[in-house]
Amino acid sequence: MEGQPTGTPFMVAGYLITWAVLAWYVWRLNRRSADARRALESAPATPHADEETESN
Amino acid sequence: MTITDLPQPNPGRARLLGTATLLVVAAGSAAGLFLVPADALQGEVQRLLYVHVPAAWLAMLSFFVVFVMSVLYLIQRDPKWDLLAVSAAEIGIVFTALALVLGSLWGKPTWGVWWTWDPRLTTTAIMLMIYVGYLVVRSFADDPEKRARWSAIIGIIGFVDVPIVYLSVLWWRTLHQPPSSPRSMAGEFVYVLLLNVAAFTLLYVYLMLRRYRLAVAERHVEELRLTRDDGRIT
Repeated sequence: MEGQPTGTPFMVAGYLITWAVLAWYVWRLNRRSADARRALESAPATPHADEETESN
Repeated sequence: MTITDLPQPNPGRARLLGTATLLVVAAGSAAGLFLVPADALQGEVQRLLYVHVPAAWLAMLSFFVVFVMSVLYLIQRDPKWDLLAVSAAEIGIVFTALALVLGSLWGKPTWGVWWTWDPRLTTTAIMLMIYVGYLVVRSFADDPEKRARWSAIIGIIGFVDVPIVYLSVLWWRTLHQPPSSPRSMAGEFVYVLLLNVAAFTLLYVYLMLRRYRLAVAERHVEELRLTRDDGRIT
């Protein structure tokens, strides 16, 4: 039973999916943050908007 | 407190934490993949434990945070608790989905099926649906206060399922094994699992900081839009 050969592709797929999902989520946070920043920059200036939307 | 008074995490510290998190998560994955031997019975697929268990842990931690923040919001009506709750809910959904997918990848070679209506799997799927519903309900409400109130109520009621998920493997006869603990595992496996749990917990702190900053920025955008719309009406 030791080292079932069928397990390796599932294990590799699991790690690849984990890293891909985490990378996708961070990318999505970056993109949404950039969208929000652009929206605030294009809006009339407010004292708080400038200080709270500095780049990541 | 108004939205403009909301505290913002320091971007420089978040970047530093992000780098540290990346290194620790990479070290945890490397240890799980290369440092420990494969399980004698399950073979290589057992290495999924080092990402499946931390993902499941973060899912439950996230929904506990949603619960606490929801209670705090209803008591204090401070928008920062609502924004922290939605941040935790979104991250919890990502990790719940990840835990389900990883469990399925482990289940196919071990149980012979991708999915079975086992109590642990079923209650976890219900948990995912509850918090997806939480985000859907938020998207229906235009008024920020009403949205925060509704979602706080769902965040509290929905949390009922979380202890059921945890205890499902003890309450019912399940295919899923009981919770993994240092008592049920050999030493070398435990250390790598604990390293990965710590790494994912650090990742959770990083993601929460980033997501909360985004939530505050998006609330500013919404506030500006509402002010502009009010100006047009009057």
